[in-house]
Amino acid sequence: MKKAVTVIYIVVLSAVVGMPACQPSMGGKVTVLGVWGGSELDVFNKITADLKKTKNIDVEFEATRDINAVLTTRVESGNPPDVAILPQLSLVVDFARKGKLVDLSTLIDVGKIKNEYSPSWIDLGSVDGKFYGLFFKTAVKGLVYYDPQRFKELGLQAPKTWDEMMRLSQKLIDMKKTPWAIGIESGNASGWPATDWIENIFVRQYGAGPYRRWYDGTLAWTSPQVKKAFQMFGDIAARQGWTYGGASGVLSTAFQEAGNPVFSDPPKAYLFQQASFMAGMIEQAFPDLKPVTDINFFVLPPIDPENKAVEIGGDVLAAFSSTPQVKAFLEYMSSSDAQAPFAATGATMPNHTVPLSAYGNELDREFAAILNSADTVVFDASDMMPSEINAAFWSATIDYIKNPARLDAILAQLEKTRQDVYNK
Amino acid sequence: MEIAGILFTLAMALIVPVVFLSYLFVSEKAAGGRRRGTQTARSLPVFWLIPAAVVLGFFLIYPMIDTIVLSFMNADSTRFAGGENYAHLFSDRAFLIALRNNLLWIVFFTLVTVTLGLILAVLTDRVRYEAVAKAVLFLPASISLVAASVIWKFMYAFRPAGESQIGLVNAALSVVPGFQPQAWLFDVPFNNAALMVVGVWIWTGFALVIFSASLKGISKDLVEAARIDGAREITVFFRIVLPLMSKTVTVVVTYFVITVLKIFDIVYVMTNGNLDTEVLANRMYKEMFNFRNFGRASVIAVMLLVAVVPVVVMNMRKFARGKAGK
Repeated sequence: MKKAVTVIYIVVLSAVVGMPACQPSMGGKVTVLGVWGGSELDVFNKITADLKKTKNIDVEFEATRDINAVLTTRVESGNPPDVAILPQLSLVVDFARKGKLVDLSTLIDVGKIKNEYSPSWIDLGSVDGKFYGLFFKTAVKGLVYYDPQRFKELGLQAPKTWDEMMRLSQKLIDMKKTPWAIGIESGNASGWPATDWIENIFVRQYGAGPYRRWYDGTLAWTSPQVKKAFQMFGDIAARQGWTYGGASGVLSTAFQEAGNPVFSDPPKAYLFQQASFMAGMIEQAFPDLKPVTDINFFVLPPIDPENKAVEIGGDVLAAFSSTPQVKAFLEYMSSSDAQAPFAATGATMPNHTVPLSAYGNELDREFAAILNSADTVVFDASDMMPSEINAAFWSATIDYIKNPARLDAILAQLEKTRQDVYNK
Repeated sequence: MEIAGILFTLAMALIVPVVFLSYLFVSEKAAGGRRRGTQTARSLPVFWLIPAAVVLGFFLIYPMIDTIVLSFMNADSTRFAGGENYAHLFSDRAFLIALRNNLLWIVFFTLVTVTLGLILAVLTDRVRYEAVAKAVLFLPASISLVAASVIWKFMYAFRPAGESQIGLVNAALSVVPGFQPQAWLFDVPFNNAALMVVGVWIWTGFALVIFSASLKGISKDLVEAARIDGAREITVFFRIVLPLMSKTVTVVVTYFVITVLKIFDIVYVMTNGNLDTEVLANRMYKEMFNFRNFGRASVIAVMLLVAVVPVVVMNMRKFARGKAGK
């Protein structure tokens, strides 16, 4: 008995000690936590296989749909991943302020990144002057998809201003057609597509300055600006006859399928607002669609022509440890080599040296062009807000669509949450 | 790596029983064997209690006390906050709604599930295909809560009128002339009822099986005697069968009340608490893992504990009385 235990002990010990010794050169591994699955994960596995080939680094990816909860638990218990791929910048801010993240300027070659990324990416990824969040994959938000063939049949044209867009919608109503397809169901993040709407309206109406005060928590939710943005959204989304399926349809349709009525035959709606990543999903659902001729988009038109910011969302890399492997991984991920394969999947990549030819089709190239030529880039406001306010904002849009008359009470509730979070 | 893991598991599989057996052996020796009546033999139960007490203390008592302490601390547990968390929650609409919904769940879910379970137990008792009927009714209990919730999300699915309804509920109802498809999970206040239906579907089979077992334990003579005396079936049930099953009913009700107090999965998967369907456990999860507010999450945990205690105490007392009576 005793002997057997001793033997096992020795075997275990030698296995543990012997392991690192058998691997050549750099070696080692990087653990990564993220929300990716499906085709995104396939591409990620493909590019990390290259990293294995060149530097012999193993990338262990762990996927979760509830990253906030999983990451919090792991960090609190002292077992964070080396790198997290975060869809919400507020998490970067939060963990950075708690001192859990590595200042990337002390780890990787920031000079190279500054050459290949536009400065707004560095700004957006910085907290209190330190660089914590490396943008990897982004999406342009506030795009309206439509079917140019149907537009031609009905004699319609893509609008240039917000008022034109509203008149276009009214015209469709007059033709006894439903103008908009909207769906905001998204599991535990239900409501986010509606917050995108409101944010896009807000930034087009009031510009990047007030937009920043809004997500910074210095602008009251009961302010006339926020109320106006909600109302302008409600003028479309909560209006009788303006959305396919009415309030029930808007609330219960998953965002992934929300655009389908626009491209089904016969069409059941004519306009659909979503981010750039949606083009790929629609093309997958309707493989016969030819980009530009059968599916095209216009950017949500300006409200006040002065304010021309482009809203984006995206996944940010943040490091919880500063090993040489993490350094190699992050430098590789920031490079055009790693980003080009993702461009082919319909993502818009922040590294502007990614050649336009790497993008999958004409629409994807246009998204990249919008991003590369934007004067001001603002990040999804709700994803910049503390998660408590973000979650309340998501839920509030659901309440609002269900019951637009309650707007003042809904905003008062959000304001209470804001005060509570900032007076903690 | 995998080999090291397997070896470690094997080693633990050997070491853990060895340690426990040695402990028992040593304690037996220390207590001086099992000679009855001696001072040392009386200390033996204490030795046997220690491992359980340590595990219980470490995994139950310590976290409980720590949770109570945390409920008086601020969000990241760095500062004493007094009753702030408690005061905040009782002025927080989301929390109050969760509290209300848990009460609704306790009353309606428990009532419906227990009643249905009883009725089905009595009915299945009278048919020849009893085993099959019970097995079918018990099936939902074998599905995980998350899977059941996902299934029911499809059952309630909504498609605008004019499209083919993929949700079974809307599809079935659309044979009624003039019926408009409903978004069941988004229709206040029916969405709460829609969620409870899922719970009833899952747990009725469980209640049925327990009640059925209890029913079989009732002596046929009593029922026969009542029938001969001219009692109708309804009277037999309410005056004879039900009183004899009262202890089982208490257990099942207690079990459901506690289950419902911590109800989480159904709400998390199907509505995530939107449109006034929030429940305490889901609120606690959000405060803890999404908002990282340990103080407030702990307050909700304490509230749940406080709510469970009277139920457990009542149950224990009822059983203590039952024992004393025998």
